[in-house]
Amino acid sequence: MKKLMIVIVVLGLSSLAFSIEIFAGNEVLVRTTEFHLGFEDVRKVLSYISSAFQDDSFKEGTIGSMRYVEFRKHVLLHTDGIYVLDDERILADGVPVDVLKRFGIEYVQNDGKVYIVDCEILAVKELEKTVQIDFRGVRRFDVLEDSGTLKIVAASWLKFKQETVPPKTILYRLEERGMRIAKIAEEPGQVRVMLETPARRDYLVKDLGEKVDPHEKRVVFLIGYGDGRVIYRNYTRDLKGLDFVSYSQSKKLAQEIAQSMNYKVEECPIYDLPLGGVGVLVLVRSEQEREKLLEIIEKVMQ
Amino acid sequence: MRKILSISSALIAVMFLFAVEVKVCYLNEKLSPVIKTFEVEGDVVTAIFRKLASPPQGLRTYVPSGVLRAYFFVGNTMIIDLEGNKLKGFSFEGERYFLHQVLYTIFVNFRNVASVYFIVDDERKNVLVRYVDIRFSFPREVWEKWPIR
Repeated sequence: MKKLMIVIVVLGLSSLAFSIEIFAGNEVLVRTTEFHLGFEDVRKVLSYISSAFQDDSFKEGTIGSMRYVEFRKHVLLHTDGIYVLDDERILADGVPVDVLKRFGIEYVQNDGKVYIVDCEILAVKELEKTVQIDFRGVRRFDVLEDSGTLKIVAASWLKFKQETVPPKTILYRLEERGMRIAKIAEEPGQVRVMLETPARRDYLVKDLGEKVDPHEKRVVFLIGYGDGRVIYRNYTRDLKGLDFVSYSQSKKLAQEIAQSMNYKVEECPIYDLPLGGVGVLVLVRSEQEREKLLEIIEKVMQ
Repeated sequence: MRKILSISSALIAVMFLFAVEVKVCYLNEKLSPVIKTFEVEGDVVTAIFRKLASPPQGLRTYVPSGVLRAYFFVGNTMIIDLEGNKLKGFSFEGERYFLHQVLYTIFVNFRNVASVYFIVDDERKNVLVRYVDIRFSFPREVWEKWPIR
C-alpha cells in the first residue's frame, strides 16, 4: 500500500515537472501535460498574440489531413504526429517551447511556467498635467496614486525600454504634494492620466498686455479694464483632452470670481493666458473694482 | 469617400438652387445676442457673412463686410479664411465679439460642423488681431451656445 502511494506521488510530481503552463498576464492560456506543446497549443498562442498586437499575418488552415499555422512568415505544419517548421522536421513528439521565439513571440520561462510578453510600453510622457502612456498589445500596467505619488507599475512581464521587466517594476514615478488623479482616459494603445493639485497658493497678477511666460506654472490673473467680466480659455479638440484639467480649473476659478464681483463669465481663447495652465482675464470697470478684485483673488487662492 | 463627395456636391447644388432659411446672430446695445432668421439664395456661407455684416435697425454687429475671403469644409471641420485688412481696426471687444458672432452663427446653421479653424489671408496665424488665439480649432460644444453668461 505504501509502495503504491509512493508511486502515485512520484507519478504526480513527474507529471507536474513535465507539464507546461503558458500565461497571458495572470490567465492560463495553455496547459499541457507533456514537456512539449501540441499543434493546438501553438495555434492558440499565435492566435492570441496576433489579436493582442493586431498583427494580421496570422493564418491557419488544413490541406487534406495536414493542419498548418502561418505567422510572421513562419509556418508550422502538423499531420499524424509529425511537426514541420519552415520545411524542417521537428524531431520530437511535440513542439518545444522555444519554437515560439521563431514566431517572434517573447516570453519569460520561470519554474516550468511560461509568461508571454504581450505588452510593450512605447513611451511614458508628461505633458502639462497629464501623464501619457503609449503602448502596444494588452495593457499590463497599473496606475497607482497614493499621498501625492503617482506610479505606473508593471502588472505582469512586459517590455519597457528594450528590456523585459517583471511584475511590480515601477515604470514611472511622479511626486507632487497634494496631487491626485482627476481622470484616466483610455483608448487602444494609449492611457492618459490627468492629474490635479488642489488650488495652489502660488499665483501671478499682471496687467493685460504685460508679457506672460507661456509655460507659467502659477495661476495667472490678468487684469484689464472693461465692462466687468471674467474670461477664461475654452478647451480645444486639437489637444485631445490634455487641456481638460486646466480648462475645468480655470472655469471654476472664473465662476468664483464672477460671482464675488457680480461679473459676467466669458469663454474665449486669450493668447496671453498660458495654454494648459490655470488662469483668467478679469476686465474691471474701475480702479476701486481692481482693489476689490485683488482682495478676492487673495481670498480665493487661500 | 466618393459617395460623400457626391452627396456634398448635390447638397451644394441644392443650396444654390433653392432659398435656404438661415439664422444670423447680431448684438443689441447690451451686447447680448439677438437671432434673426432670413431666407437666402446661392452660396449660403457667403450669404450668412453678408447678412452678418448688415444688421437690421436697432441691432449691431462686429462683422465687417467683405471679411470672408474663402471657406472650406474638410469632413466635419470648417476652415474660414479671413481678409486681414478688414480685421485691422478691431478693439479688444470687437475681436472677441466678431469671433463669438461668427462661430455662434456657423454652429447654429451647420449642424454637421464639429469644429472651426480661422486662417487670415490664407495663412495660419497665432492671433486673430492681437489678443484672441486662433492656433487651435473652436469646438461646437462651446459656441453652439452663446459663450457669455
